[in-house]
Amino acid sequence: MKQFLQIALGILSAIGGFVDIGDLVFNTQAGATFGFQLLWVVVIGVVGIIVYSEMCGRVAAISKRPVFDLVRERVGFSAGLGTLVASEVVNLLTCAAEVGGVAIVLKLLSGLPYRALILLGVVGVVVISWVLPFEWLERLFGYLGLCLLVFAVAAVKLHPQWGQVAHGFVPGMPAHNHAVYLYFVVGLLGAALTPYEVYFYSSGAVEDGWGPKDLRINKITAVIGYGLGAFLSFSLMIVAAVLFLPRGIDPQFLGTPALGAADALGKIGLLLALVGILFAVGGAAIETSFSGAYNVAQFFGWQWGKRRKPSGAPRFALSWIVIFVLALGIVMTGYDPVKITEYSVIFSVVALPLTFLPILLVANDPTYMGRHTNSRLSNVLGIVYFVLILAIAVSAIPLMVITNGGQG
Amino acid sequence: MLARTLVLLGVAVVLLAGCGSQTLAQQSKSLKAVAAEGGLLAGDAARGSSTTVFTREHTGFLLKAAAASASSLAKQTSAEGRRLARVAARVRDDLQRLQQSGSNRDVQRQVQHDLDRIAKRL
Repeated sequence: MKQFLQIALGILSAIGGFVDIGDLVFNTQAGATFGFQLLWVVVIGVVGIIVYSEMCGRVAAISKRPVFDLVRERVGFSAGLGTLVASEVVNLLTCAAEVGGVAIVLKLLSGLPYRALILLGVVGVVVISWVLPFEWLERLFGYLGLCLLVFAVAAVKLHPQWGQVAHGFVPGMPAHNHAVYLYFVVGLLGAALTPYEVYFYSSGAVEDGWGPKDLRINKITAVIGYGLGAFLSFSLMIVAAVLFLPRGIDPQFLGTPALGAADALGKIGLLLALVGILFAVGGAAIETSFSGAYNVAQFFGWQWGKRRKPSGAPRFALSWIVIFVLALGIVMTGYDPVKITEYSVIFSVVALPLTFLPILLVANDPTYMGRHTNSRLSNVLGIVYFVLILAIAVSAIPLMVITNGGQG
Repeated sequence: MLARTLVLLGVAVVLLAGCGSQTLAQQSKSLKAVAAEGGLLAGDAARGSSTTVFTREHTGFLLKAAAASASSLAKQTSAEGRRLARVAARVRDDLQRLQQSGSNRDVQRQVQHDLDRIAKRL
């Protein structure tokens, strides 16, 4: 039971990374456009994020240094500042989108006015983040986000052709629509390897007080947490492939995935899906605001951490509150929250390589890691995925423009 | 310098992504997607698989898309454009009926049949 509670960090990080507002819609669009053909991409993405999360969790446990601490030290002040600016914009835009997502789900549940719910949603997450200790934030949003498992039940109930599902795990190229297919491949990989997941995971490891004795729990947390995130992505894609693709539905709204659960499982399925989405996007809002505060505090050497009282780390506490306030301002303009996440991709492109490279370098440095440096397998995977991250960084924006955001 | 490059890059991509107008084929595809989703939602509502609030609110999002489509297609002068404009107006009207249907399953069933038929023809 204790170990089950301990893996909450991985579950929250993974849910925030794999099934936040943008991913819920994007995974569903992938299934509705290409059926099961993109399932293999999620496997590639999840292995990558497990490799790097395990690495940054190990670095945090051994050296007590979270990612942004290392970014500044390893890439220097100027490049570090560039990474900080890009990652702060990603965090802010994503936080705004998640806050909008919270309001949309509350609207789908209550029917109250959208703008009032945005305000209520922001006040709610700020109060919860202020009042609850870090481990209870992980547990509340991580475990209630698991209501999304209703999509796995829905996927089974919709009786997909399992042979075709299995075929989707084999990489391939469709006969036509190559650019759109590649756009989805790059988007799904980018979504799996979002920078804020590792900022949150490594800072969370320091918050949870991990040490050398926790290296095993780090591995378990990364594998189970992100494995669950990938499992939810598979489920969403399968539901969309069976239900939306034959009908020609192009999911553009946060409520559309929930429609899949309603069709397969009735009202209970619908309500579980909406509650799961509410806690997944709410958790992602907290994850992104905290990541933003962690980054800026670690970069400038301020006191940081949710474990400290706000008076002990005042600039850190102020930072995550300011991020929520700015997010509120962005989403109050009425811009579609799902579209906001698409623009955060632009800034992820810069933040991705400069976030993952320092992790790889430090995880190999015995000065920091002693005898806990990377194994040969970790290094091979780390290098292969770093090349993949560079490829994502180079191709994401051109593909977004060429395919008109996946519309073809 | 890097921050300025980022801002310029962001503005360029936003402009490039926003400057493409939809062709009639793309508009027809979007309209089909909205009609099909409306039909699925109406069917779920008629079977009691959806809540009244979810049906009303999610239909609201679809209705906005259909209304935008109808308004954009209303400017078309070609025969195909005018045909699509009529279809878009019908989808919009059906979604309005669904939004106001409350727990009236007969209306929801009628809307489902109509939207499903439209989606198949598009």
